[in-house]
Amino acid sequence: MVERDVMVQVDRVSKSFIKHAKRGKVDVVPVLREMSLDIHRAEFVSIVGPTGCGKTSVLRAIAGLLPIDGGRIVVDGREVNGPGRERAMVFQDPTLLPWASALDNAAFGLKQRGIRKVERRARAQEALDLVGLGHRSGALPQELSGGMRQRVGIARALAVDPSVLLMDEPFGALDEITRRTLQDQLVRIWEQDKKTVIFITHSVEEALYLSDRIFVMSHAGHIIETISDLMPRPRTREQESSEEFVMLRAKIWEALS
Amino acid sequence: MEAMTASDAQTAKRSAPSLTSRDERLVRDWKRGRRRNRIAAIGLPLAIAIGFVSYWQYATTHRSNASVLIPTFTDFVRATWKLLGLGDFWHAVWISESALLTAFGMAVAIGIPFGIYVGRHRTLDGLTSGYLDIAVVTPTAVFMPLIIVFLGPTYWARVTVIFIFAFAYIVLPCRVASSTVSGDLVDMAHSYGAKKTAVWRDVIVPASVPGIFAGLRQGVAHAFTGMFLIELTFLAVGLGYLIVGYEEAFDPAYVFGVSLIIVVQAAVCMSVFQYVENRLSAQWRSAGRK
Amino acid sequence: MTAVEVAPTSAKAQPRIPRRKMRPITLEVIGLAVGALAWEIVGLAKVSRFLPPLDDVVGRIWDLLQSGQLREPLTQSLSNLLIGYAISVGIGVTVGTLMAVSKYVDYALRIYVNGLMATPSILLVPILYVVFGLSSFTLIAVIVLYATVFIVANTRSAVLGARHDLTEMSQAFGTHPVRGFFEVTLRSAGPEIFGGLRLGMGRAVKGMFNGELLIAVVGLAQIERTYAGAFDATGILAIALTILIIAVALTAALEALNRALNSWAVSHSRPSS
Repeated sequence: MVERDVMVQVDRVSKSFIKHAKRGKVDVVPVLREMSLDIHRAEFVSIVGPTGCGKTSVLRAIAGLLPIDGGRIVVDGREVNGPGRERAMVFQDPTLLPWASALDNAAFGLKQRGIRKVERRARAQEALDLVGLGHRSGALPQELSGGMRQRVGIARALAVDPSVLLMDEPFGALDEITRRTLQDQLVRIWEQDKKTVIFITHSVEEALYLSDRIFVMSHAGHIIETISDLMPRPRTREQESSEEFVMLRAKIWEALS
Repeated sequence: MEAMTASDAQTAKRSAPSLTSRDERLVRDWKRGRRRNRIAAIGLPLAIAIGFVSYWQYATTHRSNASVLIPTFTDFVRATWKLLGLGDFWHAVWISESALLTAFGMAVAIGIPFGIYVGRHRTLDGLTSGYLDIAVVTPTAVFMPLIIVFLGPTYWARVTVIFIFAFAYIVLPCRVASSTVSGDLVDMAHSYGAKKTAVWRDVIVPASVPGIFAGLRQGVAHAFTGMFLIELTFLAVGLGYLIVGYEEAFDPAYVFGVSLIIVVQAAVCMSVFQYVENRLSAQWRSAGRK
Repeated sequence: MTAVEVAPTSAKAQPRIPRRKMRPITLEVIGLAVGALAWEIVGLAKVSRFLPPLDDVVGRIWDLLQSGQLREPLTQSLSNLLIGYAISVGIGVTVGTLMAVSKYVDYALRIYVNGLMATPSILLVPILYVVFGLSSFTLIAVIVLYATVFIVANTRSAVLGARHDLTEMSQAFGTHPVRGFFEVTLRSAGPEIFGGLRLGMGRAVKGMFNGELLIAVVGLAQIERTYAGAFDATGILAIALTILIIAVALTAALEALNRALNSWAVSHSRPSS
């Protein structure tokens, strides 16, 4: 009964890396150990956790970029065995092609899907407009500020109209002011067409402000806390000083420490 | 396992391999891969060498055209071995390489301090950089005839040729190294009251050491080039004379032999400098660079 | 919103210029001009009969060009150079890329590439001479020997050091790996590959002249040798200057091509966040 609603299912997923210790000794370092979680359609989910807890690994596994050793990942009813059209990723470093304009960067995913030039340019322009960068479509990445570059990265993911948006600490490298602007923008875009979003962050405040549900991870994909009854939407910045917010934050910090 | 979900009950039936056996499989695969890599790293170049030598030997012993001068591989090895025991050969080495040593020593003695100083001096750097840029792309050999005309067929003509071959290549890496010594490091030294000479002695020169070795390596390569070129063209003495003689006597195995021995010499010199350079720049990279 | 919007405008007003470019290029020109002037003065002062003033040398080049004496050797030398360089680029970029992509190719060839890098190429020329004899084929072989290994080594390290984050990004958007390799990985390595091509050009010019001088005395080296035999310093310097100009011009042309093809990497500093 819940099954129908599940958009992304991570099912007992394991992944280990081999670490070559000195003197021929070999260590197996598990980054994900039988991790399971379900994410519902149109849900905005955040995964918070300390550095090295495996949160980026699970996202890369869902994206199909990281082959897993065991378990399975099902997205929209289909098992993942590589990158797919229904998923799009926003990277921490926006990884824009330095030789291509903002427009061509935003159109990159569409081009890979064989969409004609006129159409993909129109759709990419639309996506740039959506993130508020329509007027800079001709600029090269190095002519844009860090925040603008990240918005091109988001536009690139939105342009392919994925059902699941995977975001790997997208605002992690930005300054606080830019970061808040982009958070607001992301909420606005999400409220328009309610995509399923998986958002990785190490900022508890960011997760609380954006998400429907928060998974708190400790190590190797070990989820120590799932927080679901968050504040009602629409949210405002003023709520960050509310009693509820402070309590939730304290709860997460307690789980993390 | 706190994060149990509805789907878990369903999938729990599937027999998942236990963690330990999966880890064992991972380690096994990894070790197998590493073993394969090690075999390939030695085996593949060795196979190429053996294939090359076999083909060489086969093609030269079964040739139909006797006028082809390529010696067989075994002749070449025999000739090299003979050369190593030949007094005349070592005499030729001495004639050639005494000039090489003199010239290289001079180029080092002038080039290293010059390069390091120029790298720290903005104006001087700008004024000389045009010449250094040109020196790198132009064949130095174009100036060889002029030196012969100036100095005649003398020892010092050879020394001069080798010197101008090596000089720019010694200066350039030293210049790059000293110009990229971090300004913070220099400021730090000043802030601790270091005087100008102390800054040079304790900061700039030590920080340029990897560049110095890069210069030595490139310089020695070009010094060998200069030595070889002058002796084979305008001034047939030493090793050049030997090679020309063997060529004229149709003794190609010896031509190969002399070349090989000098190649090995040059390669050993360069490898030693390269080794020191790599070691030092790996240590230096972590600190003191821009 | 405003804070984000304002930042790039001011950045646009003051484009970021890499430090290297701020080096006064004028100093370089002054340095060369001073050298040329000193040469002219020493020449006019008749310090040595083997040091003619610069204008005599330039005049000689002009005469040689006018009389057509330079045409044949120049065509000879340059056609060998271009053929040899084209072969070097073809082999060098292909092999270097293969070494970066396949570890087995790398295992097989790395030791030989390193060995050739650690060997002054001229030392192998007598061997080429024995193998290929006295022909323009040998001259081209010398050029290939001089240039290829540098292009291989630079291409290999360029592709190895390419922006693999970009490659991964393109995978995430479903790019076919082969297409992604050519359109993203190789392209991001472009500027560094060009660095190798520029180095290779300098090497090729050296290979051209040294080969001519050493094996078959033809082309520009032949004229210079004739002048050397006649103790004609003006002639020697005229040829030397001609080759110097060719070398500098070809390298500059390659640099211009690099700027045109890889303008994103040349005219801007690396993005910093």
